[in-house]
Parts: sequence; C-alpha cells; structure tokens
Amino acid sequence: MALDVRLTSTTLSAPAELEVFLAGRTVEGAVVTFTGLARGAGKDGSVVETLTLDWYPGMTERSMQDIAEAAAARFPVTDLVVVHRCGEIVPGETIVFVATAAAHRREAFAAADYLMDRLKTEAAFWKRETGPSGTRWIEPVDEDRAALARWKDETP
Amino acid sequence: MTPILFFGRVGELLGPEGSLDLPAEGLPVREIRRLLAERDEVAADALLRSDVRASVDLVVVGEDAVARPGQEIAFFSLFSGG
Repeated sequence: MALDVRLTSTTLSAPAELEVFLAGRTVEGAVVTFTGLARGAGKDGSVVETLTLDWYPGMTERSMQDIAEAAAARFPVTDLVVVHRCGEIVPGETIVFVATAAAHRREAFAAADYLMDRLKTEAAFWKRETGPSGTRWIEPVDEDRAALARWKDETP
Repeated sequence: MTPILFFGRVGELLGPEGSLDLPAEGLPVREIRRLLAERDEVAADALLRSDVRASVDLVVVGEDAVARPGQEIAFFSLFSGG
C-alpha cells in the first residue's frame, strides 16, 4: 500500500498525475480518478474570478493524510493519491486530484467517493470566492454534509 | 511574547498573526481568547464566536486546553473543506 498525499501551490496536472499513477501497474484491475475543477460561478450564479484556498501549514497536510489513511484502512485499495491545490486558483484549473487502485472497480470507486466526501467537508482549508461583487467565504453546504453522513452508516 | 496565528475569517479580520504575553505556566484557550478579544471591537467580533476554534501544536483543542509559551497556538473559523 502506498499513500501519496500532497499539497501544492502550483499548477496541478491531472493527466500527468494519472500517467504516473498508472505507470508499471500490472496487478490491479481498476484505477478510479476524480478531478475537481474551480468553477467560474458561485452557488447563486454569481461570477467567480478567483477561488482562494487558505491553509494552515502542517495542519492542512495532516488533515489530508488522516483522511487518506482512513480510506486506506476502510477499503481494499492497493494505492491511492491525493493532490490538493492551495492559494489562488482561477476557473478551469484543477483544485484536487484523487486516484485509487484496487483489484476490482467497486472498491476503487468507493474509496475515491469516500475520499472526496471527507476532503470536501473536513480538510483544513478556508475557501473564498472573489468576483466583481467582492469576496465571500464558502462553507460546506448541506449537500456536502449529507454526502459525508452516508459513510457513517455504510460498510464498504 | 508568544505568537498567535489566525486563519480563515479570523485571519481576514486580524491579520495572519498576533501575539500575547503568556505566563510560563500557560493559560487555558478560553482565557487566551478573552485576552485577545478584549483588545478592540474587531478582535471581539473575530474571536467571540462559537464557530471559531483553536489549536495547540496543530491539534484542534477545547476551551479548557492549556497552551504554554513555545507552543504553536492558532484561532480559526470553521474549515470549509477542499
């Protein structure tokens, strides 16, 4: 099992990450990836020019690592990678890339789904959107909390 | 003086870092919060909120946790998630 968890303030390339993740892989039958992009519109439809992810050096990385370790303990995956941007991001750029490898697809899908549900609500970031009308802080919405709650009752 | 770090909405209002003269035996988070908040209205608005949490040495702690000089102390608004 290899866990690769990284925080980066520079451009995140999902294709490059996937290429590395796939290289030399001959044992597992399934690799699932998720790529999260910065949207150019807020929940209310307002224009978003930049998305800023503030982070607490040390704490943010630890929160990501804890989530990755929990996924690795919960699902029969062989490898997983989590790469998350921090700092200023413009619409269209990749915010987060997750990949999981497992013997079979269901486990790989479930692990990626779990990782994203927890990262979206529990990772130590402070997110704000900036547009023509100013800046506003973003918090997890009910939809995110409901997605996270699914894992409290389910077994993989 | 012991540096105190601020993140999220707290950091937006107070800047990334403040400081406080902590006694050698330390103070509970509750008292650190009160001393920082009584400096002015902006600090009170930023810190005296139930959703503003604290950490000591990168671990989120409750109000009774004691922080001592040399430890890394931070106050921050709710995590947004990634």
